[in-house]
Amino acid sequence: MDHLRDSVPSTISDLFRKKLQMGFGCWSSLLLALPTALTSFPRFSADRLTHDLSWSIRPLKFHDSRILNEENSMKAGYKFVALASVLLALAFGLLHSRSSVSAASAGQVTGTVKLDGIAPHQRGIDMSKDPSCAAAHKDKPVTTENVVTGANGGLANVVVYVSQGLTGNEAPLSQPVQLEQKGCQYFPHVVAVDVGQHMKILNDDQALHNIHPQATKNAAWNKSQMPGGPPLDVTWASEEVPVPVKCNVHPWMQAYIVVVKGPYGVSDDSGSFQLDNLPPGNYTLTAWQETYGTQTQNVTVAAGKPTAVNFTFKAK
Amino acid sequence: MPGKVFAVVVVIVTLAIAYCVIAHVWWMPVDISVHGPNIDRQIEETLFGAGILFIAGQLVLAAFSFLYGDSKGTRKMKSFPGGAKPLIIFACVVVGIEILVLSFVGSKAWGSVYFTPPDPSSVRIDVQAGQFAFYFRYPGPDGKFGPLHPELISEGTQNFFGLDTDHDPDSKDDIVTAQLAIPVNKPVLLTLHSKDMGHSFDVRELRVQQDFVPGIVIPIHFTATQTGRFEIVCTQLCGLGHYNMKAYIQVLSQPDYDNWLKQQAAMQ
Amino acid sequence: MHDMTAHAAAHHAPPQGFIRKYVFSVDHKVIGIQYTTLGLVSAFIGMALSWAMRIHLAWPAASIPFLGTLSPNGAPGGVPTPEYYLSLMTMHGTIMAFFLLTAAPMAGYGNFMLPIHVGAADMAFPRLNMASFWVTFVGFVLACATFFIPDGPPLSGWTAYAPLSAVGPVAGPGQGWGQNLWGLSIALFCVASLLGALNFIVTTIDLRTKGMTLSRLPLATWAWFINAWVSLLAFAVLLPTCLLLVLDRLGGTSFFIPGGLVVNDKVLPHSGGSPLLFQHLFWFFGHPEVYIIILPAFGIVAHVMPTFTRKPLVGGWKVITYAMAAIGGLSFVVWGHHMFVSGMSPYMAMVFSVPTLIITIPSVIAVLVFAFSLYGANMRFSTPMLFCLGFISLFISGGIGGFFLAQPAVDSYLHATSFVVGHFHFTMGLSAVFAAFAGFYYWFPKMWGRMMNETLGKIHFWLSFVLVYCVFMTLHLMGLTGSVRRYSQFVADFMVPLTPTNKFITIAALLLGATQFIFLFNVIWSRFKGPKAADNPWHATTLEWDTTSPPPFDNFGGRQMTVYHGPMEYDGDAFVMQTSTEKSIAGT
Repeated sequence: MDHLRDSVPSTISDLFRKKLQMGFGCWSSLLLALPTALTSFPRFSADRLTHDLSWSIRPLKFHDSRILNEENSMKAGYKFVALASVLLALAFGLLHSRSSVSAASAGQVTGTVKLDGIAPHQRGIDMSKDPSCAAAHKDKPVTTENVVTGANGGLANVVVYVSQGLTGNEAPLSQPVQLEQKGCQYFPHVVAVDVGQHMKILNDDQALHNIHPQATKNAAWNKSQMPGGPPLDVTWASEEVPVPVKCNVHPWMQAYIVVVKGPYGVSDDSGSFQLDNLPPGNYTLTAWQETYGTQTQNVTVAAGKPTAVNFTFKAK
Repeated sequence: MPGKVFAVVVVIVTLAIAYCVIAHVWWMPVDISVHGPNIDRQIEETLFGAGILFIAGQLVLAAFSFLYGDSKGTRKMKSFPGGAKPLIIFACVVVGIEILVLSFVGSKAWGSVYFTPPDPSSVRIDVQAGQFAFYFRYPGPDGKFGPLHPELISEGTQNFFGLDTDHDPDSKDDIVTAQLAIPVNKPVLLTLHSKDMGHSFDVRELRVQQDFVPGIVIPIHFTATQTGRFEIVCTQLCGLGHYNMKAYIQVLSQPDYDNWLKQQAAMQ
Repeated sequence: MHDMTAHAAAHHAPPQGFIRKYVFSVDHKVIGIQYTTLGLVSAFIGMALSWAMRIHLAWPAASIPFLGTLSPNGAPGGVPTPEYYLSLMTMHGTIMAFFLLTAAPMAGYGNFMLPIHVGAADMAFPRLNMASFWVTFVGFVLACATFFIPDGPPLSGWTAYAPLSAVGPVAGPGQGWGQNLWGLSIALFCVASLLGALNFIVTTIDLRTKGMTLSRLPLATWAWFINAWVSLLAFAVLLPTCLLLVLDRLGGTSFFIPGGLVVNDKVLPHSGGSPLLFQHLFWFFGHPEVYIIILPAFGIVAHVMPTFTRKPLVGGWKVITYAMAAIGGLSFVVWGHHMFVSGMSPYMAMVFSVPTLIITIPSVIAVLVFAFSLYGANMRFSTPMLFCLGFISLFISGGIGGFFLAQPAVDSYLHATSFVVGHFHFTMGLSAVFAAFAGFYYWFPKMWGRMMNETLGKIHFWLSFVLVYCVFMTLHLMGLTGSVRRYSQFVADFMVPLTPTNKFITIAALLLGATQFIFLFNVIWSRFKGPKAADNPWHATTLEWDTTSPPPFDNFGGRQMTVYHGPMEYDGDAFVMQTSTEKSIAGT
């Protein structure tokens, strides 16, 4: 009964979870401190607020002296609560502040992913059902991208990430990643993103697209994007390798979003990848490719000089 | 006075509608199928018969509104001579005849599509509709369609039909395309099935419209009489992409069709 | 003396207190007004949805006022997404067809007038009547609530075909909890309609006052009575259909979902169901439903017209009543004409086509009776009469479309085109609404004790009459090109050239919508500031005009009403009321 789970409104739980997992840092402190601080000022007495709210529910009693008396005695109480919450907030903020790695102590992992064997034949894509898509590829025919190889047997679109060894204090990368719909294809075909890192989704086509990430650990969503429409800005709450992305309007469109924690790299056409800002230590790296699955390797990262790691996938 | 104005408005509206129909302001596209003329004739005859009833009805209404406003006592009240009997007879006889004619003649048009079996030498094409595209499958040189495995459907790897080319020999030479091409003047048999929701196969020029019903395979057959490129549009609400769900059908001469099929086979 | 009205009157004394008088009231008059008000509110909500749809069709990139605020997800920047357009369309159809067209002319006017027409003090089951309204109201709230939930309203159309409506959120955006709420809303509506129908039937049979034989029943009452039977049998099928749909969505059943369906590369877990079963069940209700919508319209026109033509209808009460009964009965055997190309057996297509064509005969008889009743008359062109004349013209236009769609071969071209949209808007949206307007203007003085403004009423009529032809006949004729319905944009190659036509229709539709505010203003103004109405301002004969405007609590002020004549005793200026002991002048 999977569809039962899906029927829980996704955006509410999504919002709620996002807020929680951003940490009890400055956000929660503001939320706690601000209204209680404000309510100790005479103009914004909480009682006046509820006073006004209850006005819409029942007839207001204008000359009720009890309310005025309650206002005066409540003021002192609100001042105390405001102070306490500000102190609490500071404490939370300090406790949960994220550490970021300084440049001097950062380590780096570089390497190449290769395919051993002949890549399977990639089929041509017929986009005639949407003339605006077909027009974008009049000169160069388009094929599927399930296995993309380059010079010297390099395997592209492999996501290399840290599966073990992270301390859990890594802040998500601040630079947003981009997923673009162009010529009725996704660019890039595989995009990696950190938990909490922003992802911008753009529609550069004349055609309607709908972005349908088929997430199982994250909340699933499905949004249409009109041509010329504003970019979508999304974040991901949980690690998930991978989240297949589909466009229902153009069934041939496929991409993968790989949600990880910590540094990551995606191999290019020559198979090269790079992971930056890794603190020195022992880690397990996992390489994921959409057709061939995953491989792992252990690695020790030292500060200053890059560590080399290579992966080889065997063609079926 | 209002009655006279009403009469004039009704007459103007009726004439405008009649003009739009007779002048084909909005009209059907060219008919390119063998059974199409039956349907077109049916539509034109209905337009004629129903059109006469329409114009007559509106003009009678207009006439009565014009003539029988409040005369403030100068005109005696009259009842329609014969009462309701002539009206009932008219309805039963005239409308009855029209109904009989339309039913019997119309059944010929319907029968030419649905009650005649397909030609055994028809070109057979399997059509699948799914959110939000049509895909087509030709049986290939062996003339047989391989079995479908829904669990193997993977649109990202272009396996739209769920074929198992590794284990099903009949699937190996099936040709899957995103466009439909058929040879002109040859009977064609399409088998329609749906991957997910209800959809519909509608080619206006062919005068063919048939819903896809999930769970059943529906055959339709026709013969195209003109070459050209036409649109197949989905006419059964299937979700957000319904308005954009279409494919192109090309009616080609036999040599062009053979070439096209060869090209598509090479792209598998 | 056999006193049947005492049965109802004795059951409840006049209520005290605001809540018992105007909110939870068992008085059929209050309930009638509640239903009519619900219908009026639904009309404006439904119209607003249609304006949003029409603007989007004509100018796809335009930002529609308030839509972005209503749903930032569905209409970012005020531009509806394709799924939100379909949601607007679904709720437009649902709210208009159920909460306006089914509720107002039957439950609205019928509840107010039927007991008075038969000379009773109230309906047979006043508390059940009150329950019917409040259940309808809850259904309405649920339907409107779909706009405010995160998943938004459903997008599968008011027809909610399976599997799109049945598989759940996996079918795409717009198929989340909105569809469940929709199913529950309609199920509640069914329950309310069934209870209402029972009330109408028992009241008409049992609570007629002395002398009110069936042959003397006012024609609107006959229409409501026949309609109640049709409602009883039709809604009884829709109720389980909605529940089965909700079960498929939430209960893991597969009534309407076959096996092997693949959405987003995943095989759905259902198996064994049939989408065609849903269509059969829905249309078994759906076709009688459209006659449920039009029969009260016939009744209202048959009731109102003689007052203004000042003569009885041609054929008396019998011809029009038998025609309505024939339409009601035949409506149950024609549902398959919605399914000619659905994959149903082609032989069944012929089986359904024949009765569909046959049903035109009583419809033509009814239209001929209305039209030829004008012959030799001395018509008074008050606003109700103008709307009756408009009804006749619009019903002719709409009914003609039926000749085409009843033939399977023709339908195979015209199915799912805007020809169908034009046809059902003419018959349901225009004819029935014009008849409802006629009834509204006619009965407003009786309901509120004040007259509506005639000038505003006439402006309302003329503008509406011309504009509805501009909007809907264009839509109707555009269907001959094969232009497909339920498209959120016209991007198909052959539909792009129809953009100017689209713009014309949209502009006319927006003007038509603006015109309805003249009516709304007239209603609200006249309610408070209209000139006081006499007991019988139209010089009509039926029982409602033999009591005060508005009627007292027990309808007749304690009088025992005895009926001596039929409802159409008109001869020019002279008329004999049904309760009058004078001699008959028109032989009815």
